Amino acid sequence: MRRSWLVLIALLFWSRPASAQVTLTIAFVSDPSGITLSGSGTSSASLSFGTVQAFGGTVPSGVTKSVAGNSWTLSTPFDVLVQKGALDVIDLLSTSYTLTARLQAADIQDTWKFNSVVLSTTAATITATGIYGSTTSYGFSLTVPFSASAAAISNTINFTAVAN
Amino acid sequence: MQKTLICMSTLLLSGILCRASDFPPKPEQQSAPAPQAQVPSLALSPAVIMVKASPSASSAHVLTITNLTNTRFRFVLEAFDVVIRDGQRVFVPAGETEGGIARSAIFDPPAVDLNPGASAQVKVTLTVPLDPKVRAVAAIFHGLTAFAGKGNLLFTGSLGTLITYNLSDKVDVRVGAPTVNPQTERSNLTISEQLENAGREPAVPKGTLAILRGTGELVGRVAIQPHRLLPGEKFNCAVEYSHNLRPGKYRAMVSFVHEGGLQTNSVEFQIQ
Repeated sequence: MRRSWLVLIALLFWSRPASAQVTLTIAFVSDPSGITLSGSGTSSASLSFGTVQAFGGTVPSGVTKSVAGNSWTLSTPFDVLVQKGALDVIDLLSTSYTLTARLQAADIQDTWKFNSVVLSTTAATITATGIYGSTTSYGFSLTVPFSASAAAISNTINFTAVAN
Repeated sequence: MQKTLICMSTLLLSGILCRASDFPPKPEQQSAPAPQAQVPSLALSPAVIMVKASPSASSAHVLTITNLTNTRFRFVLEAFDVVIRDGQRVFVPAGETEGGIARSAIFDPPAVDLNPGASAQVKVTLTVPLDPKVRAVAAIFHGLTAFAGKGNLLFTGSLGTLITYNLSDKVDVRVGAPTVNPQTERSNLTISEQLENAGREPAVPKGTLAILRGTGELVGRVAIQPHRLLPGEKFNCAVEYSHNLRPGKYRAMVSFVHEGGLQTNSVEFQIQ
């Protein structure tokens, strides 16, 4: 009887993880046709649009400004690189990855987009089929309504890579 | 079109090109990745854990995060249930999914600070509920450290480990009929099949495309890389055959093997 209980307990807690391992890395990289990132090539980077305005003035190199009926938009590409470990020669465990992004602070005035995906404080999927080892360019845009008063705009975007 | 169902199974998929290797003339070139440049990034290992367990079972896993940058990083650990909505994976915060596993996550420690070059290990303990509705959890190292630069837009990186659960052997992967996209002067012959995981367990189907002459002689073979499908997930597997075929009748045979068995479909086509 006691043996049966031991077997039952063992079955309840039995689990068997796979033994092989995949290592994942993430880095942000300046896109050749986009704005230069500070910290490019690392897992933490930043960019500055400087002081810009809807009409007139200049925008930094690699940044495009467009003006619509009631808002204006700054856009630039930048790259994300997700790699698997060099030892993962045979793609047994993961052949692609999912990349999500979310804003750290809510912004009810401006619209932040990544590859046309509107960002919020809830993670949104940027790609579900990311290719390992490929520096992938994503279009980033920030849209500001004309109703916004002149002020500094800042935020943090958190990118998360998870193996598929 | 001849369809041979050797073993009932389940499968599904959503639209990318399967990376493949040719055989012959190149014997089994298993798409070894090109040497990767070492970048000062964050690294997480393992990135995938596949668990076979039973309902109410607990399991503990050690995750290792390494800081290969020159900056001190802080992470908090978060668990998300990975569910399929409209064919897409969605990461749902712990506690928001009925029958979820993420709500049981216990991280030890719940946060880590990493100096440049340092590694840390975190043990995550997860318990499958009695009536689980999900089969995958993402354990995320949520990076809190923003680059101390002059920018007003900051990017931080986070990495997550995917933990999948097979709670039974009842895998049900369904493979659609193959379709042929003929070769042209500018594009290769492509054979596509829709895969769908119609069961309740994760599956990792992999396969082979074989091109046969009308007489049955093997012309070439292409390995289809494994692709993980969570329950409810679909995938459009498109396999390219990179060699030019001479005019004539051919048959493409696509075989997928997974935890539920083997499925083979074939389709005849003609090269003008």
